[in-house]
Amino acid sequence: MTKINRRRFMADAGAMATSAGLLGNLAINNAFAADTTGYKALVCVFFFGGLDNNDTILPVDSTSYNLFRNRREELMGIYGVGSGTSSRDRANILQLNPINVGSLGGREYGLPAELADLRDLFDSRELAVMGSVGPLIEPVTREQFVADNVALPKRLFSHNDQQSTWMALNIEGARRGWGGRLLDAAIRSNAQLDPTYMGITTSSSNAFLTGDVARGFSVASSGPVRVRPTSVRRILGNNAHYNQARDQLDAYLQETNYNAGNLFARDAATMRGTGVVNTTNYAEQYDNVTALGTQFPANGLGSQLRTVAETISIRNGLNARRQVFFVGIGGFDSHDNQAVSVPALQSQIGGAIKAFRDAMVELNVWNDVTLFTAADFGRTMNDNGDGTDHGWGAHHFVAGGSVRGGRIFGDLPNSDATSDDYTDDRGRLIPTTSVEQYAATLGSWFGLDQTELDQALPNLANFNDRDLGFMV
Amino acid sequence: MKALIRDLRVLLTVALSMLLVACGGGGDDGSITGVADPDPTGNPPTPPVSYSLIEDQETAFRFLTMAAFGGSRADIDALVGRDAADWLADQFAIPYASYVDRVIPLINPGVTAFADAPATESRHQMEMFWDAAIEGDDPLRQRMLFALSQIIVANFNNARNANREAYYLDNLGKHAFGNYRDILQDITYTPLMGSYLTYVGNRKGDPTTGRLPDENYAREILQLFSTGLVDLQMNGEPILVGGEPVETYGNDDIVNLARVFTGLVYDRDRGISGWWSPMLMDEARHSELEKRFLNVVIPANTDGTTSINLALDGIFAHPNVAPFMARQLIQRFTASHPTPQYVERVATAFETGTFAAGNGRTFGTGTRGDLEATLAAILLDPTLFDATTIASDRVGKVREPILRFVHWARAFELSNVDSRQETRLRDTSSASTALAQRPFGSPSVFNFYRPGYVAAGTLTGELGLTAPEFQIVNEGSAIGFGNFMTDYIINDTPFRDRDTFNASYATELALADDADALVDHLALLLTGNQVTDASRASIANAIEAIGIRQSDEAADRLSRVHLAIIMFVNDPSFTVTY
Repeated sequence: MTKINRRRFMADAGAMATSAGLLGNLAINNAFAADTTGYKALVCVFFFGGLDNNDTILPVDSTSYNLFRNRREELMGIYGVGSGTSSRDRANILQLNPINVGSLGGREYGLPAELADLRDLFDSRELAVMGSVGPLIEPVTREQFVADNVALPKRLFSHNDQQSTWMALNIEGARRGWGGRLLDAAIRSNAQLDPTYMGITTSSSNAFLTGDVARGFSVASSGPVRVRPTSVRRILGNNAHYNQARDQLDAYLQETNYNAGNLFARDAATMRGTGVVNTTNYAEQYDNVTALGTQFPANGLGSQLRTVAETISIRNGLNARRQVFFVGIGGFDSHDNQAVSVPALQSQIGGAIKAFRDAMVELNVWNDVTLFTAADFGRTMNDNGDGTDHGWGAHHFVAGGSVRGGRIFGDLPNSDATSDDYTDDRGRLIPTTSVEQYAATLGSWFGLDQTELDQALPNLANFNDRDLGFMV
Repeated sequence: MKALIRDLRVLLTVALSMLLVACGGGGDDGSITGVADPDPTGNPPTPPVSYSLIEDQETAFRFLTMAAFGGSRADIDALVGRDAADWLADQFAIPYASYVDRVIPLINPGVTAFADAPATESRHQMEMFWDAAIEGDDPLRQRMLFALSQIIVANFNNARNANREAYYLDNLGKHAFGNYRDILQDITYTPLMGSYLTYVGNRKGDPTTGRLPDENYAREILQLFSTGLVDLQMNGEPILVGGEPVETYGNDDIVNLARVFTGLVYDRDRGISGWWSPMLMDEARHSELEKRFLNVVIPANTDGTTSINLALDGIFAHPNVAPFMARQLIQRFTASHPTPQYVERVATAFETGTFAAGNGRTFGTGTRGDLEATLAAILLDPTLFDATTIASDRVGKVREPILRFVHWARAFELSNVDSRQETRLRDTSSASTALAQRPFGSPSVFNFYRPGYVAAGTLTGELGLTAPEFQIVNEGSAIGFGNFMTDYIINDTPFRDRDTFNASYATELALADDADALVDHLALLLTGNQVTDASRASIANAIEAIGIRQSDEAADRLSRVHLAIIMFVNDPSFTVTY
């Protein structure tokens, strides 16, 4: 079956005046310099709701730990801190021993036992911690924030807007994400690249993978979907008498044009036809997947990352040489019940990422694949009794064979919410690294040159460090 | 004399409708039909034809699809010759059937304690909704309940019992044609919302432990249930200052409003009925600090119940509420991207609490926030009945999958509708195997899709037209939807030994030998004849590709009917009502 990619869609749409703008964008030919040799993939793991960074990168030295514990005394009580058996008891925290000491000022940090797998990857230098990253227009101090005399990202602390800002660098309604922009640069630089399966989501359809040309192709983690009324013969009739009707139904469902004025109906036709064609083709390729030896945990993140691994294994059949994947799980908005919900999610994260790493090693592509985490925002240092509220900056993980692992990048500020590291005494962390710097470091490894990075990341020029150093 | 007064009233209401259109700033809304010509002879004027008189089957189809869940051929024919306003008035008059009252008998009689509540399953009230949507005589109320559940979201995904969820539904359903202020009041006290947005048990701050009130409900009641994030004009467009929208509130407002929603606790003393009773105020847990947000100042030491009343009054009074709710409600019924003029007309009905229809009926109590007036303004908007507007390329609504599934069920007059027997209907949230949408089961408080969603890389997207439903109706869900519908169309969803959701297709089988006749019939029944000639031809050709053999004529006819319906429910004219 012939795939429908964005180039073909745009060619079809070329006859329509409304598409002139899009085609115009494609015609902006700058350096076309992105390195597109070999294979490279980025995997974004998104924690919907906002993972509590404070409950993930835990202080270990006694001064920092006691300060932290006092800021969220009730929550730590629910965790059973003091019992000696809680994963949040200081003695049970799995200490990180970074190669670099960075800006930690003698403070020591670790991970809860639920993230033991990630601690192992840190120790084997396959995983790095990126501290205090979040949306920024330009660097911000607490004084500037309070005085409101600095450019700030819009609608801080709002879930949907900060999800959008993390993914697409602006509030809800932003249509081009930085995953899509990185893919666009690769596509512009190499006419041989086939955009169809370069952006793949196993989670929601969202702006992250959408660029001028790039789109997110949806893959179900339960396995590829096939058109039942044509692939299941008994539905119309078992014998050959019905074959012609099946063929006509197939052709009808694959049709992307709809000869009506109504624009919503025409879009619906394009989506249906494109979805049917590309999903059916993906399913045919998926038949070639060789079962992985690696066992993934049987949970949402595990099955999504297994699907990503399987898709990477058929990259040649899909004709994909640069890919960005989007994977996401929810449940992180821990306003209450945090001592139950967050550890369970962390176990899921640790196990799934470890399995993904093992599968990449099995496929011999771990040096070509980089996994990184993202979320709406971090959460407040102070608790609300049994949970935490919306914050801003957060700490994240980057893992891969090309990651300079075993290191902590950026800042891990102390737990004193009255300090200048926070917007207010509630303890909403001011990021010291912008999402765009994080994206630029990944994008540079992905093959973009400096001009392309500036095109993709409009505020990058406001920051000194364009490469945070966590990629080789 | 009586007749003259009636005629004058009709003229007045038509004039008012036109005035509202004019106030909207004119533009692309088209002309208004049904205005009587002035009679130069001085004789009493000919009674004007109401613009909302339904004159043909296509109009009947559109109206049933937008205001209800679609209908059968008989439903369509019964509406021709009626005024849409009269149909609405009939629907408004149907008493509300409580979900709680129907759930209570399903509770194990031995269960009486508050702590026992999880013993009932959460699917009961969802099954009741499916049945009511498919067979009930109050489709407008169920549509409104469904619409409200997508704006004031408290999903059932992790909920443990039907009672609590049914009580939440009742507080949307019983006020569906009432007043929005009452919804804000009663929903705030529901145990389901208290649990979902985590403010049940929320305590005042404690400086010694660093604890501060949970901000969750404070944030979402403003952002999602009442004002939205930026100051709005009556037409739903943002007010710009220096070219930029003005944020309606800041984080200090949230910190202050969070203090209001402290102190609410479950009414455990009522035993199990505490799950369908309002939460109580525990004053000892309520913050005594001053609460200052929007334009509201609640002095220090105000008690909890008074604080909540004052806070909800202040929130409801904000001028954003009318346009914010108007645009979202329009999107749930009639238009994915309503014009600013349309939003303003509906917001005006919300503000004034009244709406005058083309046939002289008036709707609403005259109180701000009246939802009967608001709904009438949405569904009787003159542009919905105006041929020029309908022909525009950007009108209409991408229908969410649940609406399309129910439409299929209503169109073919299923027998044995009993959702309790349908395991497939218990969770229809999968995009790859079901509807990508489960009633009352959106993945978060942000619903299945966002009202401002614009689909990238599409024709509507290039024009900046919002199409919320495209967030779940897209390439990724196309096959899943078609497969799910196919299984229902061919009645391939057996459960135990009960054969429910049975379509006889008697009418269709009688037409099966004549492909064009079958296509004509389904074109009206499922698309209001909006389907294109090209699609009609494709479907007719496919039907004819199944030759009817004497040896197997029953099977071949049935396959023809199945194939035709499968193709129609995948057609863009079924996906989009325009």
